[in-house]
Amino acid sequence: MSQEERTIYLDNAATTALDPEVLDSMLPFLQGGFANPSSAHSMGQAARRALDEAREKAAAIVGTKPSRLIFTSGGSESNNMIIRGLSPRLREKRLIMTRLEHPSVQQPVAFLNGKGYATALVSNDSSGRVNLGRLEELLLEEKCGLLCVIHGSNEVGTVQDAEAIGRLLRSGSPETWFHLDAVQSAGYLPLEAEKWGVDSITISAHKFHGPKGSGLLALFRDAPIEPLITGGGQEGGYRSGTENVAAVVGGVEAFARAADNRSDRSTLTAMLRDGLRDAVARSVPDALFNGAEGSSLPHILSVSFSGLLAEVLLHHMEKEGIMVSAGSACHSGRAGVSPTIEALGLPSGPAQGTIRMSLSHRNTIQEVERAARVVAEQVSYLREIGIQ
Amino acid sequence: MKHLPVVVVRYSEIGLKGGNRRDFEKLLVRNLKHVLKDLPHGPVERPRGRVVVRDPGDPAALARAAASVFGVASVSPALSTEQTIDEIVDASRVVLGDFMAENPGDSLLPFRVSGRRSEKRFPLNSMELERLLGGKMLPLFPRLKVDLSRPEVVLGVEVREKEALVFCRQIEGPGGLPVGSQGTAVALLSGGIDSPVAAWMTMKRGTRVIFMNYHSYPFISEASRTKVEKIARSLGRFQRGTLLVIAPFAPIQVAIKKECPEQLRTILYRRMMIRLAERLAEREGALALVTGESLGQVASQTLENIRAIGEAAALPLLRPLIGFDKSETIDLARRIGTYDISIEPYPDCCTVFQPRKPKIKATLEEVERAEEALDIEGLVDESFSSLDEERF
Repeated sequence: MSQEERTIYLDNAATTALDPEVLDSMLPFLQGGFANPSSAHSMGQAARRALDEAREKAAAIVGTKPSRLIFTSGGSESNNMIIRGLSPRLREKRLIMTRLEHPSVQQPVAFLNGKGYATALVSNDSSGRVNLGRLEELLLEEKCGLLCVIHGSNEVGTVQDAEAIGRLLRSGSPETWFHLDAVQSAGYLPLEAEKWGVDSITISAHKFHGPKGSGLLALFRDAPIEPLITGGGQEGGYRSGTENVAAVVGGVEAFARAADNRSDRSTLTAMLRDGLRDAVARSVPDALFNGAEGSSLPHILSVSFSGLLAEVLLHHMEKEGIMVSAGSACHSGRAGVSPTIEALGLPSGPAQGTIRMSLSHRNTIQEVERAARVVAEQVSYLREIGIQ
Repeated sequence: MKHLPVVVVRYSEIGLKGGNRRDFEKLLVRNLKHVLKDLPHGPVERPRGRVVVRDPGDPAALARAAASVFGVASVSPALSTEQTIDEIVDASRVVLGDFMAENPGDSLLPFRVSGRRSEKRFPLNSMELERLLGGKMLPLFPRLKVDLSRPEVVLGVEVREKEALVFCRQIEGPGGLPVGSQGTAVALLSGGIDSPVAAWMTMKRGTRVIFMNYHSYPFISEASRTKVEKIARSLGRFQRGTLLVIAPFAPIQVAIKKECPEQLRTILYRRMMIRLAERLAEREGALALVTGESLGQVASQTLENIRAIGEAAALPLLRPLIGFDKSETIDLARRIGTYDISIEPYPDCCTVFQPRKPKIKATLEEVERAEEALDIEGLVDESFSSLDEERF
C-alpha cells in the first residue's frame, strides 16, 4: 500500500479536508470575479451581491438578521472580537468562562484580567459538564457582564446544555452577555440561539469541510462592539479590510451543506465514533473515555491510556498512517497536560496519555476498524516498553 | 589608467607547508571558487603568496564570503593599478576617499601607510614608498593623523610583479587549513549547541566532515529532523559537498531500555552511536570520528565516562571542545551561525528514556557487562540498513 492509501485522517477537530464542491463555489471569486465589493463599478457590485447573498444565507441558518452577522477570519478572531470588543462595557462587572474554553477565549479573558477586570471560572464535573449550581452562585455573587461557554469541547467533545445555561441567565442575570463558542458543534448540532437566549455565536468554516480563514460572529442583539480592526468600515464597521469574498462564499456554502445534512452526518459520524470506542474498549479494557456519555459531539473521541505519553503514541500511530492529536492539536509541541484535560480531574498517568481521535462523515468503518487495531497494538507495545 | 577593483585573499599557514604548498594553494582556490560561485566575479588568479579575484561584482560581499573559507588569513577589497608612483598615489586617493565617505565624522583617525615591494625594479623601497604616500595623503584628508604604533586606518600598498594593489580594509579570515587537505572524518551531530561547533573546528583544520545524526522517531516528532538538516546545511557552507546521514535510533534505545541498567543508558546510547559512525567511516573512507564532548560539562562527560564511551571506537576520536567552557562554545556557535538553529526547541534522541540518575563514573567493566545482553551487531546492522542520506 502507498503512504496515501495507508493514511487515515482522524484529526477532523483540528481541521477538515475542503469539500470539492465548496472549492467549486469559491473559484469564480478567485478568478474572474475578483473585484472589491466596495468598488462602485459593475464588477465590484457583482462581488457585493455575492457577499450579500452569502450573508443572508448564513443569517437564515443561524437565525439572525443579516446586519448582525460579521464575517471574520475564523474562530479565534470571532472570540477575540466579542470579548475584547465588549470590554469597554464590562467594567465593574465580572467575566465568567468554563474551564474547557479554547485558548482564543482563555487568552483574551486573561488579558482583560491583567488589565484589572474581574474574572471567574465555573467548575465542571468529571465529564466536563458545567456545574449549573455553581454557575448560579457565581451569577448571584457579583454582576456578570459576559459569560463564555464552549458549546462542544474541542478536546473531549462534551456538549454543554446551552438551553439550561440560558435559562439560568434569564432568571438570575438577564444583563449578562451570553457568548457561545460553537466552532466544533456548528457542523453537527442544531443551534437555537433565540430559544436558548444566546447573544453571540462563533463559527469557523474549516471545521466542516470549508476553507480555512473563514468564520463568523453572529449577534442576536445589538451591542456596541469595539472593532479590533478599524479602517474602511467594512462588515458594518465591525471589521475593516477588503472582504475575502471567496472565503466567505466557500465558508457559507460549507455551512449550508453542513446544515442541510446535519442529521445524516451526525448519525453517521456518531456511529463511526461508537464503533471506534467499542473496538478500543474491547482491546484495551482499561482505556478511559473522556467526555459526557449521551451529551457529546459525534465526531470527537478522547481516550486516556495510562503508562505512556500521548505524544509518543501519536507518532507511533502516525508511523502506521493514522493521524490523531495529543489532547488538542493546538497544544502539540508543548509539554504538559492541557487545561481542559486538567479540568476533568484525571490522575496524571492517564492525563499524560490522552489522545483525541476526531472523525468526519467521510471516514469509513474499515478505517475505524484499522485505527482501533493500531491503537491497541501501539498501546500495548508502548506499555511494555514503559515511560521511564 | 583606470584602477580595477579586485579582492585580495591572503593565507598564512599554508604558506609554510613546504612540499605540499602548491597542492594546498590549489585546494584553497577550489574551495574559494565554491564559496564564491553565486557571486559574480572574474578569474581567480594565484600570483605568488596571494589569491586575487578579478572583477568582483560586489567587492564587499565577495570579500566577506571569501573570509569564511578555511585557510584564509585575511581578505581585502582592493584596487589594482599600474606600478607607477602617479597611479599608486591616485589609487590611494580613491581608496581613502571611499573609506572617508563611508565613515563620516569629525574625529581624528590614527593613520599609517604599510608598503610592500616584491617588484624590485620599482624605484622606491618600501619605506620610501610609505613616506611618499603619507606625505601626499595627509593634506588631502585632514582627519588623518599619523600614528605608526596604533593606527585605525592603514593604507596598504603592495607593489607586485604585474600590478600594484592598494587597499585600506582588511577582513580577518578563520585561518586554519583548506578543507580537504586533511582527509575525512565523521562528526556525530545532534541538534545541540556543541556538536556543530566541534564539526566546524575539525573542518577548520582542513578535514572534510560527514555528518551523522541519530533519530528516535516515532518516540519524538519527525519535525526535529529539519533542525539537524538546517545545521548540516549551514555547516556545509564551509566545505565543498556535504553528506548528512540520519540513522534510525529508536530500536536501539528500546533494546537498551529493555535489557540494560537504567543508569547506564546514556553511555550505552553513545557507544552505539560511535559504532554506527564507525561503520559509516569505514564505508566512506573516513579516518576519525568527531564529538562535541567537553570535559565535565554534563554527567556523561566525566573522564571516566569519556573513557567508557570512547573505548567503543577503534578510530581516533577527535574532541575539539574538550577544554572549552560552555560559554566559549556558545560564543563560537554564534560566530559561525549555528547557535540560533541549535536553540530551536525540538527534542532530540537524547531526551528519550533519559535515566533519572545517570551514572557519573561508569567503569568499562560494568558497561561491557551491560552490553552482553544486547545483540550489538544485529542492532547496528538493522539501523545501518535503513539510513536516510542527503547530499547537498
